[in-house]
Amino acid sequence: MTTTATQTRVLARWFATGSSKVLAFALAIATLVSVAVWALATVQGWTVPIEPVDGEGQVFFEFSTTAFGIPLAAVGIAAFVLSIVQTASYTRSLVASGATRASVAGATLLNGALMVVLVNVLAAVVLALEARFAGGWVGSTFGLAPGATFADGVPVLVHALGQVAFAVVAGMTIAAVFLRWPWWVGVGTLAIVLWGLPLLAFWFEPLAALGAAAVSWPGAMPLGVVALAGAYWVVMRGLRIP
Amino acid sequence: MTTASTTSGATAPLGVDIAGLSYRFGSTVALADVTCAVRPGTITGLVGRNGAGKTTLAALVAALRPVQTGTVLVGGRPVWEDPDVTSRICLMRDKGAIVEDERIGTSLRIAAMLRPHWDGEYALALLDRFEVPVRRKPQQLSRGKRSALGAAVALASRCELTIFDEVYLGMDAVARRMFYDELMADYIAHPRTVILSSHLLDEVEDLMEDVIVLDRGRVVAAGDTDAVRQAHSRPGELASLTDVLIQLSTPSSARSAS
Repeated sequence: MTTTATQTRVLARWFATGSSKVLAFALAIATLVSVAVWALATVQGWTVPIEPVDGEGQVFFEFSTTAFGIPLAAVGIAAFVLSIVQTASYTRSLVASGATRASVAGATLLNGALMVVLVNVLAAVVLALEARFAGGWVGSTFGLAPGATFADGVPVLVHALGQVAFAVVAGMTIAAVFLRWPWWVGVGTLAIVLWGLPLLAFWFEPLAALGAAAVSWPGAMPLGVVALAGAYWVVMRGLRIP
Repeated sequence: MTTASTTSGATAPLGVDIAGLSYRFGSTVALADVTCAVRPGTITGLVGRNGAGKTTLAALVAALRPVQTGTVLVGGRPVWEDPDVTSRICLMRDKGAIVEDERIGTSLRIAAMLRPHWDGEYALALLDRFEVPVRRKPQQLSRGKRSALGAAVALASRCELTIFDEVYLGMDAVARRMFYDELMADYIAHPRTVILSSHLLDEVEDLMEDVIVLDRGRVVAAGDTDAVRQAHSRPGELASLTDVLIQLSTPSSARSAS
């Protein structure tokens, strides 16, 4: 008897195997690049000033420039891209091969959760390394000052967990929208979310204040992830295979 | 009512029962109140002119699209989102079940995961027989080789209901003959229900035990192939399925007028 749970388990394992390989490959390549940067910096005597984190923009800047952050950034970006590519590439083939939409949606969500865990385990490792080496030869991914401990970066890590989960589920949902409806529906949705709403908030002050309050609410990110996952599930369940 | 059990491990062929099935693409009616049945364990031809609704009907039976009006039962059960049924239905057509931009091995692995009766060795033997290079990507293959790949995956899936929708497009005459031979040999060795949709009626009509003729989304004839041919024959001359189709199809002038 083939059940949705059986299919979901098999597909999740298959997706996870593929994801793990790609993320490991991204980590290996980025680590090589990072080591090369470190060697170059050491030979050239370059130093990178360490500044305390005072905003998300600062985190991003440090994130992209630190030697430890290069592998982390590569794996995070790879997870986001994978969330789109795996959903877009395989959903139709899997359904046409006998999987139910529920099985594919469940498996991709589980795989997304695994990728989020992997990225955040790597982030924790990077944080531990930075706590050990912060103040040394290179800038800090998490903005740790010299003498800071692992615990000092944990709040940033927890916040990043939600951000990565949001990005991964958003990637899957975008792919599902493009699979289910004509391209202009996806483009229109993205335009409204990424361009229309910010513009509206710019013109309409109360909306901007409401948005800022919602974003600063601690439960906003978890709720956003759950809402997006629900939307993804609904979109996938009605998928037609042309 | 034509049904077969789908109990665990069973390989009993699945019958199809369709009642009052209608489907529209916007203002275009693809199927209009279709009622028909496919007996389990038979090879049934699904024939009709372009736009008759064959592909839409096949897609609804395989649950690639949700039914709008009417019912589709496979093995006596609704097919939509039932993994125990969908995993036993294989609809092979020019696109869909094959991952085009990855090596053929990916599509074979997917079939191995999802098809309860998948025979990997048989799949490789078929690909070898059809001279399909397994290390290539499907999108790199010629049309004929791509069709052979689809046919091989469908045969090796050994699904209780297997639907071939013009799967042999681009195959040369030799490859098509090989496909028909393989189909019959495996059908006898592993009985299942087969639905063949094809325009090459002269080649496949002898394979078909039953036939369903569609015209503009409606069933205009259905039943035992010989009986349908007999019913549309002149005295002393047995009509071919092509003759039947010509007799039953709406003239193109009427089609364009409507």
